[in-house]
Amino acid sequence: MEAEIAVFWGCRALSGDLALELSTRVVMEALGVRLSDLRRQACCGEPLRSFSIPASCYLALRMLALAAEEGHEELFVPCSKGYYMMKWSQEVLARQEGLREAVKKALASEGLDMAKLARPLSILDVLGGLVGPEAIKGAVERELGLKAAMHPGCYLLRSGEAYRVLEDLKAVLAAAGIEAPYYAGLVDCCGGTLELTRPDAALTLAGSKLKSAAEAGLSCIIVTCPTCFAMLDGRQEEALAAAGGGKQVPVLYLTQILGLALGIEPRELGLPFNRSPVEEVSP
Amino acid sequence: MSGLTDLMTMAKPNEELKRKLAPLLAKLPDACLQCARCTSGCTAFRLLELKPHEIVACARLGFLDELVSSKAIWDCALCLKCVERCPQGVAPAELILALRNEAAARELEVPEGLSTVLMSIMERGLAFAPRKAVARDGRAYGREDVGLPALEVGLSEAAMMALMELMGGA
Repeated sequence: MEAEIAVFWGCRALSGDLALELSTRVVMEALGVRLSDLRRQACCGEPLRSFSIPASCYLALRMLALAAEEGHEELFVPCSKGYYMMKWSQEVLARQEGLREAVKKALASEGLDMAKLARPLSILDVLGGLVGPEAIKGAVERELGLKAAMHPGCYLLRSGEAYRVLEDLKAVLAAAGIEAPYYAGLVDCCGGTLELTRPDAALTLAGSKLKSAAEAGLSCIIVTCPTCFAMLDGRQEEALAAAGGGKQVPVLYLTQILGLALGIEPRELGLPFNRSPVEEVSP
Repeated sequence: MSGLTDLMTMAKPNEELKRKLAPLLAKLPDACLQCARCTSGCTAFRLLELKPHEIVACARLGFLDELVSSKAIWDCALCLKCVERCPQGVAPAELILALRNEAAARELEVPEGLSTVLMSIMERGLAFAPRKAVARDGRAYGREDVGLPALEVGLSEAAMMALMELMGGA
């Protein structure tokens, strides 16, 4: 298949998460999806929700309005929080005219039109919908034979029907030959958002998530959200220590594990930037 | 939260603040049945004893000043489980966000992690300061070192002005 979509990377990638961006770019290319970078990228507003809900909604819709202004009908948002914000902010504004008018005025200050917004696409909208499990299956070149712990993450899970999100994620993984069974703790939070307000408790949450995957006998954790990646991969040692110790477990982005199944080299998928023991699952 | 209940013995309901926060909410706390499904699934209950149904109950009674200045509103993990679980569509996590908004507007103390992110957004339009990624070989790589394209990042002056206005001149 051949398709071209605009992409907004989000703060984590734009501030140095190379694993997310490298693996997403190379896997999309392998699957025939051409990405065109949104010309102007900035915060989606998610962390501002604690300070001002209207301001956070403005920043989220601004990305969709910028995409529409650049001529895109859809905007791919690989970051789960960014994707959630783009859906949630529209819900919030639909509730209340006063807020809607305030955000409309804010957008107009840059010549943007609230009536012209691109439609946000999640990683599952692209992999499960646009590309589809059949095409992924057809492109697989390497039998990984893994039983993995999928970690949907709170924001992707709750950006739509949680049940559908889990089914779609499972279908994408199955297409790549990866079994992703239910395990206790499947929908548990990684603590990534709590990290900004109660950092100690956040690490304990991340640690217990890591332990639940290991206790279920699963070989790695697969994440889609860069906040979850930062907690479970980047801060794994501290998280395990906070939860009373435990075995290290490889943590990979969905696009990284897919890339391995597609026969892409670990280096191209940014695997040298994972802190967790990914050599256990990588060829 | 027990401290919160103690404070309430002397508190007066703030109906005006209740009306002020209402437009931010999916549904008024008045719709809450006190079934505590939110608390029974709450991520922060296990670790920090956050009880979202108590927060909703206090809000319903109008004890909002007490909530705004409570430490409890910063214990929420924003995992959104309570939003999914509430049979009445009350969305306790969104009530907590609205209470945090009021705390910020009153310039009460905000946890350091959040203030750092706010400053970063105001400074460069991104939640975090760009940094190089350290690979397993111990070397630090920037996006250009791994062949990623340079991107235009940040908020325009007009967007920053509009943002400040929506934040209430923060």
